[in-house]
Amino acid sequence: MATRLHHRVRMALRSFLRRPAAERELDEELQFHFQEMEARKATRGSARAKAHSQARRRFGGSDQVKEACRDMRTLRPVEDCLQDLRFGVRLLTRSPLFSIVAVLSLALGIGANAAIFSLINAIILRPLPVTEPEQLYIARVTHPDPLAPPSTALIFSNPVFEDARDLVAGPAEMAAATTIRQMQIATSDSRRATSQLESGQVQLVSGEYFHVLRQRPQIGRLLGPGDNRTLGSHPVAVISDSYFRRKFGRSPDVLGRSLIINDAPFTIVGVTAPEFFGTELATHTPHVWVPLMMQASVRYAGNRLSRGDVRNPWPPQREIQWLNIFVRVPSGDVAAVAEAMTLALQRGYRLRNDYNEDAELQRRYQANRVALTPGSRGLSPMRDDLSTPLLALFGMVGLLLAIACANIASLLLARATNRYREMAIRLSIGAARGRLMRQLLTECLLLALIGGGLGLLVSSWGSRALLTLANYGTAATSGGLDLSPDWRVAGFTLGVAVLTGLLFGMLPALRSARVSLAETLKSQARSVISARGRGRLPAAKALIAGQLAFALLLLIVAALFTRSLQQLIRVDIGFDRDHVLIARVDARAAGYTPAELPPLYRRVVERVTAVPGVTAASVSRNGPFGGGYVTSGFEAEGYTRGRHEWLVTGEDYITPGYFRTVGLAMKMGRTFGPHDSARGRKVSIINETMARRYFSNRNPIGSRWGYGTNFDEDGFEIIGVVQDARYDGLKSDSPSMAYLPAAQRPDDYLASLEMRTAGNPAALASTIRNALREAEPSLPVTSLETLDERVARGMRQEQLLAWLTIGFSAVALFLACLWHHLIRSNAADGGARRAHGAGREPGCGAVAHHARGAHTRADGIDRRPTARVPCDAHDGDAVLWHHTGRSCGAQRRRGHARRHRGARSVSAGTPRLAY
Amino acid sequence: MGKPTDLLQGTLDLLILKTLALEPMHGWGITLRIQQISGDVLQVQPGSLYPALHRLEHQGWILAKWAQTDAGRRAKYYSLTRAGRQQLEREAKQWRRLSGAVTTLLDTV
Repeated sequence: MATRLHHRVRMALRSFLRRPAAERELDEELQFHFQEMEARKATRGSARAKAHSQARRRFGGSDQVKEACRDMRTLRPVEDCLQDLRFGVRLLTRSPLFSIVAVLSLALGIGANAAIFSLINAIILRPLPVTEPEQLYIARVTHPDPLAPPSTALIFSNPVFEDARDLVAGPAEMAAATTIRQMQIATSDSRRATSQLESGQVQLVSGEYFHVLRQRPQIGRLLGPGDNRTLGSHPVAVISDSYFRRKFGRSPDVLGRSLIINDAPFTIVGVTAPEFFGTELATHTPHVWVPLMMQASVRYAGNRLSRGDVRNPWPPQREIQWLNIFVRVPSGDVAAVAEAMTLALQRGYRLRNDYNEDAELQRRYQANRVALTPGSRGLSPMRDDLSTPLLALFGMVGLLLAIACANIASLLLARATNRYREMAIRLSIGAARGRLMRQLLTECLLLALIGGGLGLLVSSWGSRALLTLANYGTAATSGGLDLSPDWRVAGFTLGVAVLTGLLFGMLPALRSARVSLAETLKSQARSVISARGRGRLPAAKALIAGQLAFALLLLIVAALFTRSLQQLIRVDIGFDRDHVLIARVDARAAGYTPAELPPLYRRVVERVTAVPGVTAASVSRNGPFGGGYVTSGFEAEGYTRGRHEWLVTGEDYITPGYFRTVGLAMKMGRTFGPHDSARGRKVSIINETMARRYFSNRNPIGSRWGYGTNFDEDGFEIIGVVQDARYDGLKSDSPSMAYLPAAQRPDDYLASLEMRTAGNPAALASTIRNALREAEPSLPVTSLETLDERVARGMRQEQLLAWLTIGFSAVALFLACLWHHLIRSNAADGGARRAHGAGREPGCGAVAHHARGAHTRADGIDRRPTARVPCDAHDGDAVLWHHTGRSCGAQRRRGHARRHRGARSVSAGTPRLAY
Repeated sequence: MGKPTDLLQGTLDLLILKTLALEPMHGWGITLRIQQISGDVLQVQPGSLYPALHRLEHQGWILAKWAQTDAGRRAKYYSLTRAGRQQLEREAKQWRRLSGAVTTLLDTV
């Protein structure tokens, strides 16, 4: 049995690998049979001619016999497939224009889809590179009252985190982390002096962080619970792989070296694994992780919800909520963990002094619950930003691909009509209809797969380009975003390619395989076309109409996006966007004490105002389009709020020249002056929105507002009303804003330095940077850009969408027109050829007209003798005609007919078989 | 396509194997031999014969070899392998059982 199996495998392989020889042998074997048969008849006295035809009858079509013999081969399906592929390739190289345009448009279509998909994959689908990410949850606080302000994840104080962690220990593990902040970092070791300051991203984490994420160090060790016990006494840091590579050149002696973070020395104890980028898929991924307990040492002052004293260390304070909590729930009993955390949260509230004293706060907080949301993909502001545009783009590229499909399908349909003769001939000499369909589909799949392969290239380039255009480029390169194609992207691309191939191949294939054998062979080529033409037109028309409809749809979408972009560009933001330059400075990181701040700001403002071209300057906490601002709940004197109403206003702390610098006009009252100092009356300027909302029925000047209701003691007197300006970006109206004099907020670090210029602000950037470096060498300038640049950044998504849709629709229209042109010229070309009695396809290039009747039946021979050159006339029996007007030799060299599946036996050489 | 119309497939295999049991033979020879021995009752068409030969070869029951005919022409000769001989015995036994049963049935009823 084993030997038989062995034999069968050998036979299968041999007949597969030695196909040409097998074909020759088959030929010879059958020829021998035939000649013997003929000889026998002849000796029996029949006339030679009679013998011939008798033998021919008895033999019963040598092609069918051969085909039947081939069917006996074990590897026949593989053989067929290879043959289809070879033939497909030959067909593609035969009509290079069609192939190139088809492959390119497919590469574009599939590539665009794959590009968008790989972005969706990287941003929306791909889980954090941690073990068992599906066990991870992110804790949020929810409030049953729908009118309550939306909760953020960042809502836990350190004591609440520790309580909750201890409460659920066992069924769940918990870790806390802050937002990522930019800090000034210097690297140094014992031998060398401290390197220059550089900003880097730092995240503060609890000791459980790396364990909950199941991370292992690349070298050294990661932070553990022992690194986060005592306030201010764990100067240890873990660095990321990219930082390790960039700053230390992957040198293993990094362990034990020191990092100076915002003036506080830390010792590097380990490096994370290369694929780990933290828990936030964002523009910035952490370079350094340090323990939470070191908050005060690194002067961390990130996002928080605070009713405590932010000048003292945060970890012990229940009143400062500044942590995200990650929970790993291996048991899956999420509800119980959330319940326990709610318990800890409420217990934490009751331990707060302000909570117990403030009935209002109690009313607001007592219904708060902890909810756990799946955190397998981490926190991602980028995902929230990009999800909608990405899905919109996904739809658009889908349309684009559909257009490409319709295009290719309609051209293939046109070609299919030209191939009826080929199909008919192949059917007549023994090819099965299913086989023909398979052949046609193989051609289409081949086209689609080539397009898909190129598409993968297009996509890896395209997704990066898209990210760069969307201004997320730096994040992608700094390691946060893994755009390398994984199995999802590869599978998606393959799937799309195959689907595309089937889609545009099915209709033409069905049509071709439905060809009526007798009718096609019998009738003249022209009449075939006209008979078929009636059936062909509606489909082709529908395809063209469909393409144009799709292209039109894309155009409409493009118009919509352009329109909304146009509206954004026209939006009056309030600020004078053309003459303002803004620098971000970080006095906190540089170690200035609050007492040094007022003189610092004064010096800086004086210095930059001295630069020629600068007409005014000011310092503020946030500044225009500064990416965020403080919001506070407040009470307005004389305003009765509704039962569920909470008064919230944005705040900014400014030096007196602010409004003049950024171009906001005073509407009422006066602006701040030198007399509004720390010792003076607490004053504020509100914007028009705040005045309209809360002081509509009275003169706001002289009215007061405050964080509590004791206006005499804590209230701010309104001394002016200033013009509205958009602080939340372009898309939302001006928020309610209250401006306070920086002099009366001596503890706040102001980060924004605004300068008004007479001319183009961008031209002054380097002069100002130099002036600042000269005047205050220790003050880091983290960015310097014009207000217009900041505003434009807010429109980047809209800009991108508008340009992309315009681009897509241009491509779509171009494709539609191009194909239309190709089809028309193809039809005309085909028509001309058909007038010569030829099909366009190679299969029709050489057709053997077997019987004698071929002379008389073949159309056009008498009318156009030059167009049809008899290649080989043999005994008057087999006449090989070829129709394309090429020389016989060339035809034979190319060997179209011979290699043609099904037409295999129709040899262009000397006929070996008599029919 | 290629389905035998004149003989049951299995029967053709049996006939070929039996014919080859005597001596190696080419396709034409097999046709003649079957025709002669059956007294022109069984006529094997090439359309059935050659696919069957190729199948039997692939199954390892017969072996093909090119050789000279008596007249000095090259022809493909098929011969029975050991496995083919066993297969012949099996098929012959089966055929006898079947035909015996049919004969008995025809004679009795």
